[in-house]
Amino acid sequence: MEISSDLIIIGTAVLVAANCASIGVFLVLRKMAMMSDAISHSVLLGIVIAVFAVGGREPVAVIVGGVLSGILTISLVELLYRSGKLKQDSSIGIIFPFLFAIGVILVTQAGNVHIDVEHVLYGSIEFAPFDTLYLDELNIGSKSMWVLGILAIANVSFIVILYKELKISTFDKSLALSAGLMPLLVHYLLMIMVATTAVVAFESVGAILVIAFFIVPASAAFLLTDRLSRMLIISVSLGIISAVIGYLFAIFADVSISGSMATITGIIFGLVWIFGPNRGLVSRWRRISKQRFEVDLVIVLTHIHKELGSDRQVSTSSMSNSLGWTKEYSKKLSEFIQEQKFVEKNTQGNFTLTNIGLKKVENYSN
Amino acid sequence: MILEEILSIFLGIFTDYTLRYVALGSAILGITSGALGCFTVLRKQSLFGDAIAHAALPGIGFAYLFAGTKDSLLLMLGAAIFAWFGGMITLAITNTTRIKQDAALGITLSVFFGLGIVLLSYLQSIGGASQGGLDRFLFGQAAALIESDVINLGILSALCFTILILFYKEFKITTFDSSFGQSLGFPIKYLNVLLTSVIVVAVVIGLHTVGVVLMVSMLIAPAAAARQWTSNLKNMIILSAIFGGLSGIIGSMISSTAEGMSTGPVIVITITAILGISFVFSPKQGYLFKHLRNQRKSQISLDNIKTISDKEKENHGNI
Repeated sequence: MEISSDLIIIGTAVLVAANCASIGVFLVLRKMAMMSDAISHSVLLGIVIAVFAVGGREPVAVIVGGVLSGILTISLVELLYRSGKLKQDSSIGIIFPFLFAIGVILVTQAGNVHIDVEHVLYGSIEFAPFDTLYLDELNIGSKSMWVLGILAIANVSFIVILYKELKISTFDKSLALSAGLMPLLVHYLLMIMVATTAVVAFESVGAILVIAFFIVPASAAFLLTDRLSRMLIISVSLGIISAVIGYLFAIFADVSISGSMATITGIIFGLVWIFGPNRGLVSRWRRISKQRFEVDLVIVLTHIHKELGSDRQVSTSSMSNSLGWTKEYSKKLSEFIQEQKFVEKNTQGNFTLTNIGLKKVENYSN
Repeated sequence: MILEEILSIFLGIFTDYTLRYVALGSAILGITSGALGCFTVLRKQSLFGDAIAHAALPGIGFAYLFAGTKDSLLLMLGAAIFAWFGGMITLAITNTTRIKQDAALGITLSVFFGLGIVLLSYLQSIGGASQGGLDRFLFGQAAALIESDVINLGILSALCFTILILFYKEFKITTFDSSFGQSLGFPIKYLNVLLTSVIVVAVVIGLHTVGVVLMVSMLIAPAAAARQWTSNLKNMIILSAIFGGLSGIIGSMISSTAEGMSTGPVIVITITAILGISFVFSPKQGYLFKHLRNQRKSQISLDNIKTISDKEKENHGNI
């Protein structure tokens, strides 16, 4: 079975993206995004200890060690946090650098562990095609693809089977508690899935890309929809798109693959943030300026009505003086109200209200 | 024997040229990040430091790309600009979208760091070995500190402390009650930006010694440890600076004893140990004294029960 190495790298990345982006939705919604930061760093310690214990890079031992250290991280953070001595974010910021530091020292002090500390951060997805799995001496394809594929099945079944529980405990914890949906159990199961996903993904792409895939596509999806099911689909799609574009860019520019993928997730997030429908910065700004214009229309018509009532004249220049607007804005508004036939200009350049305008003003004052 | 060895390591600070600068650089970092970390912890922005430390990486890449030198001051300037930019992006995301702070921090951290790795790998592909010196910012390389680096770090640290002393009252008020500060007419928005900028400088100092990954620990752990001993901000800042400086010196001394042991992780483990000690031994909140107090309390209540039951016996005799 021979697949080209490009396809294996893209496949690995796509599987990592899908795994992380789906679980990441719940992290973002539950305000636990930085937990993925903590877990994906402290996983190093578990992997190093597992390698020591078994004497080699056995995939099962590495995954078990990593998951255990992930659970250790979560438990320590919650222990510190629940003791009331520290806030949650401080607990995270103390536990993971500590565990990571121990991991780094173990790696550098023991010469026989084949772990490159820098590669821990940005992974070595480039080598995914060369790490193949053998079944009875038969090459059955890339190891990372197999492991990630199994993980994807586990993640999908986790989300599908516990969808109701996850959804309710995410949005309304007390309802989940009273409905007997065991939010605490769901919480710990979710954390175990996060740890497993982080370990497996970490092995192929490194800590930073794991965090990027966990948080960034899910955050972008959060800005695009209000439905959980859609958010999951959008998040996974954005993750996969970033993986593919990131890989192509990395090959084109001859730069780090995982770094390039992380950057692309950020660019996609930035595009959604600025240009997204409804919640994007541009559409928000448009909406706000439209609302402001409508309010100013009311102000200017009432102003003209009042001034005419007390026998004073209103022109474009007097408008900008008395209402404190710039000349350009007053000109724009006065042109608009003339176009709409709310007012007419007489020969001296002063405004008089038409019947339509008068009706409009009366509408406002009612 | 052991005492002698410890003494010789300690004396190494005065005799060993390399160790002196390593210890001094690490101490400067510890003192600065310890003092400023108090504000990040009290403002519930602990992981802000993590995000901006990671965000600094592309700055180093760009500085090298455009200036073409490894001049440490220039690299630090690039790092500071990007760290600051990353901080502002994080604030902008939380202010203009419904995304919460934790996710915003994660976005800045991973995307900026990813960009940094892209730049470093690009530099490697165009310039051969030139990247070698830039790699050290990931985990820091205190052992590579030389006299001029330490002088630069000292100047930056002095700058931070000058601003801290000048604006102490303002920083205090924005930290504890920013709406009150606003009502008194303090420009809270600018003060927040100024405080963020000072923290950025502390982070940039840390890049040399502990690196981007472990920097967050240097901001949080000393402050959290100091918080266990005192409730007064001024005392907390002083104590936190002492803890940070101490862990810098102890960490660099321990790491000098073993071949190839990187300084950054050892410093982080040292400061976490100081935090652990504070958890146990602090007189007001520590586990040890709490345990003793509880024991004494239960002893007192046991005694009380005993005297009551004795009195009952006296009054009623044997029933």
